[in-house]
Amino acid sequence: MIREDYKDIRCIAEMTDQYQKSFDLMVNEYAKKLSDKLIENNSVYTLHDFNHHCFNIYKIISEVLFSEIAFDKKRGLDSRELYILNLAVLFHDIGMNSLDMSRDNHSKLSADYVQELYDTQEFFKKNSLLTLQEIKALKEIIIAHSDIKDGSVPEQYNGLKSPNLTIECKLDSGADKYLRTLFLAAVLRIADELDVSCRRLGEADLERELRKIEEKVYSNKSGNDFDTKGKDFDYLNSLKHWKRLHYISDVKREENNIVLQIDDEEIRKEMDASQSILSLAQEIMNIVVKIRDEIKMANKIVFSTKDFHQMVYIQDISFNTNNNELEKKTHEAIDYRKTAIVNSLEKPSENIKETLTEIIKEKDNKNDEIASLEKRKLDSLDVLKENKNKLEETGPKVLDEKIEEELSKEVIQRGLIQFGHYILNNDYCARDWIDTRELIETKKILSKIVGVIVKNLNGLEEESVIIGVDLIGALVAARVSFTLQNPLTYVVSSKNEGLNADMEVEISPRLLENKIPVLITDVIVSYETIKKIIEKYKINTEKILIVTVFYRPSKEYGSESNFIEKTVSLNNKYPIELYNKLDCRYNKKGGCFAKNRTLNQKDEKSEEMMD
Amino acid sequence: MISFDKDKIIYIATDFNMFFITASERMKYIRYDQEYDLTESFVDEIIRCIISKPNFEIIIDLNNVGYVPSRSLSRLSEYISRVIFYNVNKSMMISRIENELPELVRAKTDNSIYCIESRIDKALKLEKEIKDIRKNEIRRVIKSLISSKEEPNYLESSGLYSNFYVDVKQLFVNVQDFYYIVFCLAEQLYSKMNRVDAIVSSSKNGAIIACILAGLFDIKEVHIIGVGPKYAMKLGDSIDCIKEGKKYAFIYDFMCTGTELKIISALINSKKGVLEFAAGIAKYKEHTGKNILENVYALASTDELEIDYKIFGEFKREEIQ
Repeated sequence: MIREDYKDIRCIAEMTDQYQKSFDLMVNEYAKKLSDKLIENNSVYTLHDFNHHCFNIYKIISEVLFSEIAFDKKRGLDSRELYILNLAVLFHDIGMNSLDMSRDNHSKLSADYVQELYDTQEFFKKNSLLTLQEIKALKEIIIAHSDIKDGSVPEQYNGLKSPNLTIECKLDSGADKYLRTLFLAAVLRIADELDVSCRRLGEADLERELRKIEEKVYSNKSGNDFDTKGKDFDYLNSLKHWKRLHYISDVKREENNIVLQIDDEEIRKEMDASQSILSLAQEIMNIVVKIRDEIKMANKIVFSTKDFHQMVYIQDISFNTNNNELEKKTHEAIDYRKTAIVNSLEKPSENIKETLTEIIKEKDNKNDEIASLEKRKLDSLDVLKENKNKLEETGPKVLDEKIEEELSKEVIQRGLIQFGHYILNNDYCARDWIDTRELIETKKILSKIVGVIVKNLNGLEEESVIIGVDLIGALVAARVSFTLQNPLTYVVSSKNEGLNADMEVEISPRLLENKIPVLITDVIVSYETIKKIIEKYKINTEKILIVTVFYRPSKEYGSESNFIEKTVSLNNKYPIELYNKLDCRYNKKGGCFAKNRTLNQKDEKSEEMMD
Repeated sequence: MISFDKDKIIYIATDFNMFFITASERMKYIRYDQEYDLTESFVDEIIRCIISKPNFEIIIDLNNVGYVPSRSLSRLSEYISRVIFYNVNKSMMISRIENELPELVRAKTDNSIYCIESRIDKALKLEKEIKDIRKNEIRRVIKSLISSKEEPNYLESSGLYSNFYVDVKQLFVNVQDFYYIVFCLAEQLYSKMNRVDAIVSSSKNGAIIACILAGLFDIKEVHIIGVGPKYAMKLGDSIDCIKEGKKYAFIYDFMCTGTELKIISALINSKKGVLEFAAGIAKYKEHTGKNILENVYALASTDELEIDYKIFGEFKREEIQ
C-alpha cells in the first residue's frame, strides 16, 4: 500500500494543482511496480520501492538539497520542472524490476521502461501531460542518475557528462518553455546517493532474512570451500551495501554542509559482533567519500554554473558521531582525500566570525565543567569503596555470561576438570585441575574465547600490546593479536623458566612503552604468577588489563583487589580446593607425587606448577 | 596499503594487501584464500600512492586476484604511463584491463604483463626482478630476526652451539612483517593442508605460528609440550593428543639440526600416526631435516639469506663474528 504522506513533501506540494493531480495518478498506477524484491539473481538489493527509497529522495531534495530559492516561482524551478523531477524520482529505479535486473545498466532499463509506457500505454500518454520532447528529457535525467557499467557507454559520456543533458533545453511548446535537464539530473543523482540511512532498511523480517543468509554463508565454509566467485560472493558483497545503511541514522543539512548522523548504537552492536573499529571507520569513510566525490562532480559540472548555486549550495559533506575513536579513525581514513568542495561563491568572512564566537563560548563552558567534575569526584569515592568490596566477593568481571555457561558445559561434558593431586606452588597443593590445553586445542571453543576477548579489547582508545602468559596464554594471545592486528609477545612465569630457551624468556622493555599491556592467561588462582611477571618485566600497572579464561578463587587466598579491578574473566564458576603442603598426605620425603610434575623437576624442591 | 619499495619502484602485492585488509574486516572468520577480490577502496589507495610518489614506477602484482568491481580500474587511466601490471592471469582481470584500460597492451603474447606500449621493454627487463621481490621481502624479514650475541648461542634442543640467534619472537611484534610471513607460509602450504588432520608443534614460537595457521585453514592444532627446546615432558605423559591413523604436519619456527623434528616424528610414530610434512619459517640448510622426513619446507634457509651461520660442538668465542 502506497503511503499518502508523500503529498506533504515540499517538492511535491509546491507543484500546481494540475501537476499534482497528474502526479498522483502516476504514483497510484506505477509506484506498486517498483521493485520490492530483496534477493534476485544471487544479489541482495536495498529497497527501491516507493514507500522507502522514493519517499526518502523526495524528502532529501526538499529538506537537504534545495534552498528556499529553488521553490521560488521566478528564481527557482517552475512547476513543470518540479513535476519532471518528481517523475524522474518515481521512475529512476523501475528498471530494477525487469527480469534481467542488474545494477550495471538499470538506469538505462528504467528509461526504456518510461519510453515503453509512452509508446504503449494510453493511460500514461493521456495522464502524464508530457510531450515527446519532455519524455526524452525525462529519460536522459533518469539515465544520468547512475553510471552505466556494462561498457556500452564510454566513461567520458557517463552520468552527468552525458552530452544529452543541457543547461537549458528549449521545448517545442513555446519559446519561454525550457527544462534544465542537467540540473535536474544532478539533483536526482545526489539525492539518490544521499539515501544511505536506515530509513531505507524496510521491515525487521527482511533484516532477519539477510542475517540468516550471512550466517549460513560463513558458518558452513572453511577457507577452501568459500565460493569467492558465485553466489556466496554476490550475497556477501550485496550484504555489505545493506549493512552500511545501518550505520547512518539520518542525513541532514547544517548550513552549507550535509551531515551524516552516525548511528552509534549500531556501531556498538557491530563492535560487539567483533567488527573492528578500523573496518567500521573504513565503511563510513567509503560512504562519505563516495558522496563527496559525487557532490564535487555535480558542483563542478552543474551547481557552480549560472544561478544553480542559489538553488543547491553544498560546501562539503561530513559525519557526526559520539564515538571518539570512530571519529578519529574515520577522519584519518578520509584525511588524505579530504578536499573541501568549495563552490565558486563561498562566504568565508561570516563563517570565521561564527567560528570565533563558538570557540569563546566553548571555553566558558569548559571552566564550568571542571568545577562540577571536582565535586563529582569527591562524591564518587564512597561509591568506589563500596564497589571494591563487592569485587572481592564476586571476582573479576565476567565478559560474557553466555560464554561462561558454554565454557562450564564444555568442561563438564568433555571431562576437562580432572581430579587428583596437583602442585600449585611452594605452599599449596590442589585437588583438581582444568585441562586448558585441551580446551584451547578445540577449534570451536578457541574461536569463542578469542571472539569474546576481541570484542572486549576492540575499541580500546590507546594502542595495546598483547602479552601471552606461558603457553596457553600465548596461544590465545596469538589469535587475539592476529585478529586485532596488534603487536604480540609472550612472557614466561618463573615456574616455567626452566622449560623455555633462555632467549625466549626475554622481552624488550621498549615494546611496552606508551602502550596498554594486555596480559592474557589461562587460569588465575592467587595472582602470584601475575605479580611476579609484572615485577620481573617491569610492566606498568597503571593501565594494565589482565584477561583470564578461568578465575579460580579459594579460601586460602584473599583476593588481590587491585588486580581484580584490572582483570576480566571468561569463567568464574570453578573455585579451587587447596591444601597446605605441610599437611598434605601426598607430600612424601622426596617431594609431592603430583600429576603435573615434569621429568626434569628436582625432587628435593617443589616447584610452582599452576598459579 | 603495504608496498615493497626498491630504488624507484613501488611494488604492490595485491593479494597480500587484500588478505591483510579483509582480515581486519572479517575478524571472526579470518581465512586464507587462493583468490582475492580487489576492492574499490583499495584502488583508491593505489591512486593515492601513485599521486604521492610522482617519480616512482608502480608495479601492481595481480597474482591470485580474480575480481575487481567494474569501472574501478578505469580510474587508473590517467596514471597508466607509470603503472605496470604483472601476473594478470585470471580471465575476469584480463577482461577488465582490456576493457577499462584499452591503452595497455600485453608485453608478450604468452605472458601476463600489461603496460603501455612504450614501456614494454622496461616491463620485460623488470620481470625477473619482480619474480624475486616477494622472496626478497621474506629474506629481509627473516634476516631482521637474526643477530649475533656476545657469546656462542647454545641450542637447547641439540646441545650444540651456533654463532647466530634467530629471534622469531621478535617477528610477532611487527604486525605487517608477521602477517606477511604467515601469508607466505599459508600460500606455500595451501595445497598440502588437505593431506593432514592436524598440525603439531613443539616449541612456543612454533606453537604460535601453528595456532595462527590452524585458524587460517580451520584445522585442528595440537601442541606437544615439553619436547623443545628444553626437554620437560610431564611425568607419564602419554601424548593422548596424537591419534592412531591420523596425519600430521609439524610446524616449527627455525630448524637448526632437526632434533625436535626427530623427537616429534618418533612420538607420532609411536602412537601409529603419520607425519606427512614439516614446515616453518627458516632452517639452517636446504637439506636440514631431510634425513628424517622427505618433505621439510621452509620459507628460507640461511644459505639463501647469505648469512654465515655456523654450528659447532664446543663453546668457542672465536666462532662469533
